[in-house]
Amino acid sequence: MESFFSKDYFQLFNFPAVYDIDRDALTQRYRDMQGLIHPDRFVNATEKERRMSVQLTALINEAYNVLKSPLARARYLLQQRGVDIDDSVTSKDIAFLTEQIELRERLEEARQGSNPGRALMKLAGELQKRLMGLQLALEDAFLDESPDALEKAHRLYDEMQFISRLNDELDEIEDALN
Amino acid sequence: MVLFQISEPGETQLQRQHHLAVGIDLGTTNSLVATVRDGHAETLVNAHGDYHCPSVVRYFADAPPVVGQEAKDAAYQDPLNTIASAKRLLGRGVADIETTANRLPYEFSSSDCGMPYIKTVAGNISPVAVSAEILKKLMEQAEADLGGELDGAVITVPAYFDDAQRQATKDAARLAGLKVLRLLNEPTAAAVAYGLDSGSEGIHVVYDFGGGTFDVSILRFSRGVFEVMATAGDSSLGGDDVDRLLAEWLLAEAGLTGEIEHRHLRRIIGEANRAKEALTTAASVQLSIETQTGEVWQGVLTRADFEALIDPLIMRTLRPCRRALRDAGLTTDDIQDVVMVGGSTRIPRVRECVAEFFGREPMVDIDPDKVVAVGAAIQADILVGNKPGDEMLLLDVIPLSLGIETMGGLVEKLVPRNTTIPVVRAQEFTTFKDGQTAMSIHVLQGERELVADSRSLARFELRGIPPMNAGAARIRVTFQVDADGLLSVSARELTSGVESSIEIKPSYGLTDSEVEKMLADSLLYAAEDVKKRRLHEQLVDSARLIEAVEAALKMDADGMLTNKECVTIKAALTTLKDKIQSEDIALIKAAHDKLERVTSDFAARRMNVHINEALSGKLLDQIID
Repeated sequence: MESFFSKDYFQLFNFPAVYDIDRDALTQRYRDMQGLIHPDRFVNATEKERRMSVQLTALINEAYNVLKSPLARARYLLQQRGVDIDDSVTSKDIAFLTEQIELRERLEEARQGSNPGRALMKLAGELQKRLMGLQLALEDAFLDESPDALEKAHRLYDEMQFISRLNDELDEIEDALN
Repeated sequence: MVLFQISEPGETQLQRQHHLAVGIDLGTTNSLVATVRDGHAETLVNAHGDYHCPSVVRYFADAPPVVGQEAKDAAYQDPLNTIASAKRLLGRGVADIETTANRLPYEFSSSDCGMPYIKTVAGNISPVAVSAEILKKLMEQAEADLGGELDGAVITVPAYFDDAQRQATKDAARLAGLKVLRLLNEPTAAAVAYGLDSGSEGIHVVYDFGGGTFDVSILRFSRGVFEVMATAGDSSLGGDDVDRLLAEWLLAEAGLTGEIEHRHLRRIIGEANRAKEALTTAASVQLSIETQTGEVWQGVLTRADFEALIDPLIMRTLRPCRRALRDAGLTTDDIQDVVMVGGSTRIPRVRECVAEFFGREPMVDIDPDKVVAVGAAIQADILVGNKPGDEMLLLDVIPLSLGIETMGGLVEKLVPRNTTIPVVRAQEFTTFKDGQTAMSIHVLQGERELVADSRSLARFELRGIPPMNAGAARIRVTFQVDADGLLSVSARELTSGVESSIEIKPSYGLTDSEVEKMLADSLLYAAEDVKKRRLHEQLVDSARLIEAVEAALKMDADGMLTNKECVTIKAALTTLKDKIQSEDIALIKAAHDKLERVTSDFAARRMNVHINEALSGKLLDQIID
């Protein structure tokens, strides 16, 4: 048991600790593990086994959530490699800051425009593309062994986090329109 | 003479005892019980041949309550003592029901525990006790049919039920003396019945519009695993609202105003219900109701007018559909099919709107009334151990976000909605005053940011924090949601290692002792029956433990246990088997707890070894692939 809780998420799934992860294999492994440890398999077991099953399943669920999400996986890998992520510190990258302001303005314009549904959908498409691009860039950055690669990955993560949040806000605005 | 039992190798495996388990659909208007018999799931009928049990209980001053059709038939003559739609009140507070209650023809009184009680000639009755009566009736019906006492039941709840509503459902089962194997979300149950039937892999939407609740779930079915991707809904929207809307229309058309007597209102709602059902097939319906002056008003309602009237209600169901799709990250193009569940999906206009929204005709070929109970029965059969369980697995989610109150009346979310359960999440908080030794923790559920807009689940206090400067203490609050979707919360101060054990008093639920007291006070069972029921529960639990330990010993005693450990466990096992004969609950319980205790390390070792073995096995398979 203890050995389980001390494993990192990649070890738990028996996967190499890389960013470029095989999603299908991850899902399959997740389901195989659930099939073994889910509380439904322990309804007739002793109380101790039932309790352990709940805790283990919760751990597997948590690990799966982190590994399958491009954003959470990047954060986890950065932390694993000793990067201290402080969400309260804003970026010093002027170009990125300018872009943030622009994107926010565009979201606001889309919301208040004559055809908000259409404008929001267009912006959402762009954000999706952006996220895909960031994901590919992160794959490279995490493979890169040069000294400033981690720094670069951190910067890409910050961007991804911003775009993801903006995307969430956009979803909420779309939701409110309907 | 000693008789030797002769058995072939491997035969014991096949001769496993068959356990009696049922699935119960505890509905707002009707409840059903189903079971798997000879490998086939079927709903059970009562003595009159009905599989429907109206969720109605009628109370008497000096006789036990009656449940089902008989009670429903009396609703007009005895409206105040005949309780229908109690499910709408489950897990609700007095304040909540003020909006619902003025539509329900009962009189309420408040209670110490914040729950609304219904005034009847038999005294003040809680919605939990009403639900317990229904469960008891179904349980007795099943036991008569199956010829033995039940080992357990899977009870379904709307996916969108919050923690308090789930807890109240479980309390009702405890009160009825029914062992709950699992609370299962209704749309998930429907998907099981449907998916296993058709065997179709892919993404399914279950649109579940019942008597009192609306749910939508999106599930992926792949290689025996049902994975709920998202769920959304409205736990106070259902066919009852259609009836009420129609009744209001009737009142307005007939010119009825002001205060209307309970009995009269019941009749009008009854007429509305009749009209709704008639319009499922007819293009128009004749209506007649009595006015306050005793005259008879007559009129006609066309289907077109009816549809215009209820369209706003149907639109209210499409909003959650949109949200569930978005939460799952899908569009309607990804959906393989849409399954209709619940009586309200018989309304043609509902089918039309759903077809339009999802861009495909919904599946209506399975009886929308039975499918939930059947799915629950299939799951109950697996959970109770009648089948080798590894052929199907359900992965469900929590429907509403969970959080705690932080400064300024805001909610900090710890577990977002649609997180797969079970889940454990922890967050650290700190003190805000120098020398602060206690901290109040307020647990909330819902999507809103303000405490005032969220459902309060529980409040508790962590005491005994050593005095420190403000901000120095580190209090870790841990939320655990189990496979039934039920929450438990604990808190611990980390710097000092001081751990406070906390009993959470649910805001609208019952504590163990309250359940005990209710059981004693209720008319559910006579005093000896309570004792018998209790003994039965203990025996079922202990039989289960004995079975589990014997199986474990057989499989793993060699290699995982020292001789001494093995002897200790076997001794405890023999003691429990012996005490079971005694019919003394206290003795059995003590022996039971002892066996749990001495097998605890063994259980941990087995779990560890088996998981590691299985995982390395899986890894090998992959390398070979």
